[in-house]
Amino acid sequence: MMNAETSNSEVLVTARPVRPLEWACFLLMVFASVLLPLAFGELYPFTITPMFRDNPRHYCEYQIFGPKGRELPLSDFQLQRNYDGNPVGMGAGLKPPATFNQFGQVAGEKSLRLHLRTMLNRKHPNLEYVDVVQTVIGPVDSLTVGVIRTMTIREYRDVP
Amino acid sequence: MFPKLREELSGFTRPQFGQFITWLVIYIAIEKVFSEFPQEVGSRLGPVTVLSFLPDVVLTSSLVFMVARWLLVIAGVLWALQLLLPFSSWLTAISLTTVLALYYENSSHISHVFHLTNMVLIVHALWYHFHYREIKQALRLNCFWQSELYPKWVFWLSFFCIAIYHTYAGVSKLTVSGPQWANGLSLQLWVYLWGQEESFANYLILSNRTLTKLLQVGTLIFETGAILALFSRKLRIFFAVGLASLYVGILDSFNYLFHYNMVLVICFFFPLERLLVHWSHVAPQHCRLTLNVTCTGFWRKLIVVCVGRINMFGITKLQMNDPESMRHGDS
Repeated sequence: MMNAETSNSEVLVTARPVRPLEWACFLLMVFASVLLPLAFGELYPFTITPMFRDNPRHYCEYQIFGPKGRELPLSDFQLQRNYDGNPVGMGAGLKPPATFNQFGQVAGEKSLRLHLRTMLNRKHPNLEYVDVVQTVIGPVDSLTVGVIRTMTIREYRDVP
Repeated sequence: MFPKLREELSGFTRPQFGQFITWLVIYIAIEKVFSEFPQEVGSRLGPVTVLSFLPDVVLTSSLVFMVARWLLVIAGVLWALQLLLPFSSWLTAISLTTVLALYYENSSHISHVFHLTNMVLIVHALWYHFHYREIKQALRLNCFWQSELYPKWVFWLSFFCIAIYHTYAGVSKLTVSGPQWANGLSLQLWVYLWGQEESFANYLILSNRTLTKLLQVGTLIFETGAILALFSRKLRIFFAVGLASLYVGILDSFNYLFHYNMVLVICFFFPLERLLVHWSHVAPQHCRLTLNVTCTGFWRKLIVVCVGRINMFGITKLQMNDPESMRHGDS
């Protein structure tokens, strides 16, 4: 048990020895820190620390313009980038909004056109067409990265 | 089993380091942690936090978040002042975990800025929980800083939490992407996308893939091997320098809020604990500051309590003077 002792005219308090319950808490924290991330990935405050664990080789940037030349929000066409370095949605309580823009993947013209037509038909019946600029960033040579390709496409809504 | 380990963990040291860390994590918790409830919408995923078992009405409540945030401030201040023990320490740990868990429960993104602060704060709350009687007695007797009250297992458990956090960061990269994660290209892309324009590190990273590859190899070594720092003092310094450099690079390149992680790495990986205890023995012999206290009653008590709380190295001595006798002496 705790006691106060006097030594060299200085009063000191001695801590009581570590009790079984303390050992239990210690071991519980150790096992939880090791096992919960392995079981769940993310179970805050326990974490597998997944940031930047992927290995992208290129990514895309998009811009989208309406018929009057006005730039439109990417999220209106599910072209926003959800990726922030962490695996998308991992450890977060809310499902991120759907997106066509997957970091590390370059969508081909055919699939991009299909996506845009679907978006126009379903969500933007007031727009006749949109112009989309897809910029691909990746290795430009053996030393550096930069813009390796830019593609502009115009996609029309289906005529009802 | 492991008698030497058990003997090491059963020991106690002076509380300079433990109390400094407690103040540090309380400061980060009160001052830096999110104070706004996220306004995102979306379908729920789970479980993602230790509070995910609670009903949605609680998890999505901005009122619960705000109450927890205010409790965190009040309990944190009380704990920092070592008042209302051990309730203030529990309440701080619970409210901080609640604030952060509710934030991530209502967000579609997660950051790893406060995980270490939260874990270290929980471990130090356990210290106060199990030893609050001795701590209170030492405070009453004004000998808190001289008494060996900081359990070594608290230090080692905090250290373990910090080390495993970094080791899992390395293991995640190796298991998902393999050793080719360190190809230089991925880091160049992240820096191209999010890097700060005026950063010199980013200029180097973007202009030379071989250098970037070396930086990524270093990242894998220092992160994955961080757990080894628990077993060797020499390795601890090696990993301390490596991880601190890694954080300096991250802060310079991206300006993410990893300052707190870096501070905790520096505190636990470098021998700060031994240094503070050493200073607490040596400082009173070399430096003395005498404060003449002339007030009486409540104010005298307050000064004694306050100085006792912050007199970490025992260099301040209070000289109690009776104002009556001083007046007679003057005349």
